[in-house]
Amino acid sequence: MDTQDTPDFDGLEDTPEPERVQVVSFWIGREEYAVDVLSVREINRLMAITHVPNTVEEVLGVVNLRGTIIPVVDLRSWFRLGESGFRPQNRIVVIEVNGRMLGCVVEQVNEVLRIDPNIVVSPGAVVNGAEAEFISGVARLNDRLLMMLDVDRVLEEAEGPLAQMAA
Amino acid sequence: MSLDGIDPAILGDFLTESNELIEKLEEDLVKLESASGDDELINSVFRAMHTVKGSASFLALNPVVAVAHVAEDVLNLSRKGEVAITEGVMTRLLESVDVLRGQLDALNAGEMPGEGPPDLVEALKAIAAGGDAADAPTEQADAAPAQDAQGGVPLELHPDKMALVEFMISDMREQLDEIESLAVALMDGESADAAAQEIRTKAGELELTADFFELDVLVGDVKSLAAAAAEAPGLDAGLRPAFGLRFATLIEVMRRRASGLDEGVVRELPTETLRERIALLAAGEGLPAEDLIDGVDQLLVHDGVLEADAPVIAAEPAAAPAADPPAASEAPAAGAKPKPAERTKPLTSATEATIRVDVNRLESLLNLVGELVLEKNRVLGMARTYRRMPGSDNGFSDQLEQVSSALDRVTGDLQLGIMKTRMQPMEKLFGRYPRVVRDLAKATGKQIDLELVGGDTEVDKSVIEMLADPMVHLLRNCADHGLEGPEDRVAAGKPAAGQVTVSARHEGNHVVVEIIDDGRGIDPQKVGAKAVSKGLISAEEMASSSDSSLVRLIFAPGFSMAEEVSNLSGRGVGMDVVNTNITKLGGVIDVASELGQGTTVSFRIPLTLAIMQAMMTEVGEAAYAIPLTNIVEIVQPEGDALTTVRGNNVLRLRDEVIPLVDLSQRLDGVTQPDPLPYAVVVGLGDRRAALQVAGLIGQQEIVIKPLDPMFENSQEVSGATVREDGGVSLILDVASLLETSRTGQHAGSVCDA
Repeated sequence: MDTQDTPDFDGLEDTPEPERVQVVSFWIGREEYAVDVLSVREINRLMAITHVPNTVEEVLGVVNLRGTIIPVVDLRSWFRLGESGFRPQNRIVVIEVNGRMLGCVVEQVNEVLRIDPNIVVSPGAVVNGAEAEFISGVARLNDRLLMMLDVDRVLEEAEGPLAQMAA
Repeated sequence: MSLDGIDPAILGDFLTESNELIEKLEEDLVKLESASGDDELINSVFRAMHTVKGSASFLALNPVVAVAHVAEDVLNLSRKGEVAITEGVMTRLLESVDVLRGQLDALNAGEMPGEGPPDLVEALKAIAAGGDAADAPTEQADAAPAQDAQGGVPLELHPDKMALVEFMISDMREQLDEIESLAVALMDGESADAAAQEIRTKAGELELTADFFELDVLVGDVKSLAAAAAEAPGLDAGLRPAFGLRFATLIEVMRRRASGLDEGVVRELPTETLRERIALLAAGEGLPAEDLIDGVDQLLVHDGVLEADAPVIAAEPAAAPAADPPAASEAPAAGAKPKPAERTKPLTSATEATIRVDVNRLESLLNLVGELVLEKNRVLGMARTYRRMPGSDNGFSDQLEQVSSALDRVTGDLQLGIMKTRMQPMEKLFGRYPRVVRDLAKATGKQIDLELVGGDTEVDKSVIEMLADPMVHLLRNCADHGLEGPEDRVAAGKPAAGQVTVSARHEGNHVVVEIIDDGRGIDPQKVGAKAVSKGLISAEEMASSSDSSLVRLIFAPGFSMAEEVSNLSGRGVGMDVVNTNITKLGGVIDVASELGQGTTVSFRIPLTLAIMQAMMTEVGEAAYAIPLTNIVEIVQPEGDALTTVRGNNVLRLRDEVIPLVDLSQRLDGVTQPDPLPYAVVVGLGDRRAALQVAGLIGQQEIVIKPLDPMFENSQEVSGATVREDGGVSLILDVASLLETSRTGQHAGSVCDA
């Protein structure tokens, strides 16, 4: 994986107990998000994205992932936080659920870390805005707030409403 | 009942296998109708039905078993010549095939299939009962004495195996029958070698069956039988009668074991002495005079298989001739009545050197090869770059070039090889047609001779699937409209039976399929008049059209020639749908007809949907692929070629006016200040449109990749392909672009010319 895999020792990595879940965290706007590593297929640098006609602006187009053509969306623009703007540190996080793959452009991948699932609480009042419905929970770590991305919802939305919007 | 307890993988295998068997079975049944008495055919049909039944019962799919069982009974009797395959019987058998197929479809959809229609089951039972049921082995089991005269211990097997006992016994009996009939040839000097070989094969199968029962004595019998058969060809003529008799006796012993097993008991029947004596005879050594006994029954006692005072009963009525030879000393192989027909049947018709592979695995291999091709292209590019670098003239450059060109060749072969694994013979489709034509002939009261040519022509699997419906539709058209009734044909000086030929052949990267009938042909004037009356063309257009273009109007949407809607065809969607499907495959359809002589519908389709020839074009910053089969011509419009008609942009090309589609505007929403320099004229049937593009990159063979379902609203594109540089280009969907340019949804780029 093309990411920093040196964990910063903020007290969370000391005893990797089996029940801890491994997540990848990344930045969108000023917020830090995380997804379960098990649903991350890979993380790539930005590559040439082919625009597909008749799609909404959140759908950037398609890329070739070693022979498979996968759709790519801009999470930042999707969550109404403005466009990502394509800087060198941008990454495409490829998530995979039930054999379907979706590339998500994020601003910067931060780290891979283990968290105790018990610290994940319902998003409740912490999150509001366009992204709220794609967050399955929030993990508070010291001074950080990790928003757990609901991968199933993202894919569902990409297939349904997001595709329909263009019609 | 539910399917919950069934391993989906096993069920999947069962469905794949059974569907194939049923397809073959149906094909053979129809053949059988015109070639009744063909033993090979009927045996093959019987075996297929038997296998379906066997596998279904393994999975406890009782409704399937019930239907297959009655059909199998009828087939079994007819292969014994006890039930004639009349038209009525055939219709019932074909119905049972339909029912089975429906049940398999239900299973495929995850439902437990319903019972077969009771009247069908009853009818088949009645047919079977009408035959001489007493001689049928399926009945023999019941007829066998319930009380076991020889005694024995109960058969004990794992419960899972117990469910299969019935089938294994039926297999065993079948194998014994086959060996017995082969024994005749074994005793005949000339064919003994071949027969010995076949017996060894059969004995191998029998041994597997015997293994199932976990009975050493049974396996021992089979081994002894096989060993004896191997020696038989070289046997001294004088020893043959005695050898043959004991060979038949051993078979009889195994029959009795089978009967015992059928009743759930393992009969003792010690065969040490019998086996020993067979081995002696096979080794060319004679036996003492007192051991030369006539008659199988007597031998059974003499060789200690049966107690002397045991009642001499035949295990099965069918074995009676074996047990009671008229004069054993004259009959070389007492148990083996000559059954020449059975001897010629293919012994291993089902053994093909093939394996089943999940299509998804092939897909992923294809993807991997696609990646390999990209990497190979990079290596080729690097080799070229290196050669141009200063100081590269050092021999390494040559080596690099050699390696990369070898890599190029191997990768190409590999790609082709993988493509070929997806190819299937057209036979797969053709197999269904005899049945279709039979039903059509019955429904229309016409006589139809069907000829199938080129069934071994191979085409990509997906192409075969998409051809299935259009082909059946065309056959229906032949029967319904194309061919005349027998009286009309005779009056026209033609044979009463109409001739329909379906042929397939390769032409370059395409397959050409033709459906030819010798019927009444298509009258261009009638078609034209109909088209005018339906408003498809104007009377002037009709007057100025050639005959062949009038005939081609049958492909126009909404056209139907039938005066009345029949239940076969004539709903006015037929040929249009055929045309659409062929077009989807990137194919071209054509029709040629001569009044009174017949009609030929032909189409050319690419061999594979995975690869196609395309023109790569530039539109804005992107490259789009346009399928070459859709391109009529490419022009650089000059001067007044680009104009407007009723506010719509059009291209004037010779005497045609073609709607213009500015791809830059259509695909990217960008309006170019100057018209784009190139116009790619695309067409489907009679429809045309000119697609304006910024540049032409060149003609390429591209690998087609599907787009994610989330792009289903992007109708302008039908798929994507990976370029040499690893980037993605979209493939334009010409049919959809033509559709919108025709219906005028996109003002400004449309013309209803």
